Amino acid sequence: MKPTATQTVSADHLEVEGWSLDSSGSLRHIPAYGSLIRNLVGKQLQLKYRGSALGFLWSLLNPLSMVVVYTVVFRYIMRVPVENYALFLVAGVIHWEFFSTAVSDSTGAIIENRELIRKISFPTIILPASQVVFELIQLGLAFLAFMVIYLVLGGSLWWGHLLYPVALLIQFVFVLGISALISASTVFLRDLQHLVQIALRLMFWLTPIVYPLTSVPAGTAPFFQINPMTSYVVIYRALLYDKAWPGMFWWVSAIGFAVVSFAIGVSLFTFLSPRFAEEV
Amino acid sequence: MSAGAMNLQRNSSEPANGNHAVIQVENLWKKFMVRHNSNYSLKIKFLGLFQPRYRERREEFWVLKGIDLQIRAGEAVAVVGPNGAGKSTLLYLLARTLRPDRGQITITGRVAPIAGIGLGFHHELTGKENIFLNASLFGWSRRDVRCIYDEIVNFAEIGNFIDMPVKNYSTGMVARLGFAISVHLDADILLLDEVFSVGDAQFQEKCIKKMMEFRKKGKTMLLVSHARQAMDLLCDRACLLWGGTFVSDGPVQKVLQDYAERTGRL
Repeated sequence: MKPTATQTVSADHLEVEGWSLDSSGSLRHIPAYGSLIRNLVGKQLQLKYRGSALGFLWSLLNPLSMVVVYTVVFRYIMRVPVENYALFLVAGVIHWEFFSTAVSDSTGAIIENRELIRKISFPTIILPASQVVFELIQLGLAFLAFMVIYLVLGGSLWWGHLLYPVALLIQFVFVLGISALISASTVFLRDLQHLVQIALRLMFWLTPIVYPLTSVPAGTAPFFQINPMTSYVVIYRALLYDKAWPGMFWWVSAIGFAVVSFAIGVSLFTFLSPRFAEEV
Repeated sequence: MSAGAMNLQRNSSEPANGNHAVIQVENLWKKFMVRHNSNYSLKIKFLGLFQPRYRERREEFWVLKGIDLQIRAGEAVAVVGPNGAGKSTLLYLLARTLRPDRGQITITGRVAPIAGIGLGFHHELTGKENIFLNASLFGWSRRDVRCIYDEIVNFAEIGNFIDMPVKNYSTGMVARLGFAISVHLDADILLLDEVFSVGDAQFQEKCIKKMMEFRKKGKTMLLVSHARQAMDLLCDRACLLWGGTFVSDGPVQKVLQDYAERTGRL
């Protein structure tokens, strides 16, 4: 498309074709996605760590403090019978952090960018998406830290590590969908900002992160299986801690949750986005 | 609905050089919802299910009631009118950040980000980061932005403040930076919202020079303004937005006179 393309915008037109198509008419004009994502991700980084002396280290210190506390409590006080408890915990915690930070930050992805949204028309889905990319980068660094500790403690590599990027991709798609859903919904329902915090806290304890799935009471397993994060944590822990094949069931459910979340999240976002500029 | 739509009388002073219309607005309607009892809270929404007094009352407010407008390539048009007449709304619609409720807008060419006060900046980011962010939303790569970066900073006269968060800028500095970004992005159509209301005289002069340069390149401009002198210098045409429709369209002097008469009458 030439940049001088004519664009028509009307109320009917939108109802027929969907505003997203029109609004992303500017998509054709954005060849520099790389730059855009880089600028937006850089923006996240600046906003989060500007002025703090330790900067990025905070994103490692936060899960680390969690690991220390939980290890002391569960390994040495409650005496959970799990070998190498810290590693067991970290394999789950860093991926939980990816999910929970992305979700809680996504509440502001649209409403905190109101000035940009009103000033220039662009595919707004880039806002939550770049936020998730930013969290993914943080997870990548946390993962590297994990692997260093893992190897130092005598862990060895196995072919299951090759599946890690696949698992990560599936969770990325899942988180992308949830973030799109929440960032768009928050525009119309500001309470979500608070609701999400409570939901995340509940979900953390209902996901087998500090305890193994095998220790949940018999008969409650289906309850854990409907929690998407269970399948991700189970897969990661199998690959990174148990060195075992997670089982086809968990892969299928992980992919299923990702597809559903992405489909619902992106379509709801597309449906709501035309009204963002008015509502933010 | 067309009864309320007063079609403007097109003045014969339009350039007759056969330029095609780059902005074509046909019967454009835009409403806003005025909400009473709206605080987006779940609790109140829940109570509203049982008690009407907690229910959200929505009142429609039509800002634009059937606007027609045609702007040709290379024209500079001023939109004037009282506060709340819908001038800024019109700019948002042309920038395609707001969606029309009825009618149609056809735009040929690329529209620059609206230059206006308090628009488009992230206040925690530095001026520099904001330049890159704005330009990349417009579709520019970082490499391209680097080429015009110095030009933008020099034009905006921000100096060392460029590496400070925008929240520390004065209102004038923010407006200057916004204007500088919009004019340097090489768009075909420029939308300006009250840019002259904050800059000092010297900067205004600079803006006007820049905009004249812009016009010479055959680009199109639409400015919302109360600055008489700037409109006189820059625009060959003005439109008066009054009560949701254009009631006067023609040479700047004539339209401003109409405007004065109407305000005087009230």
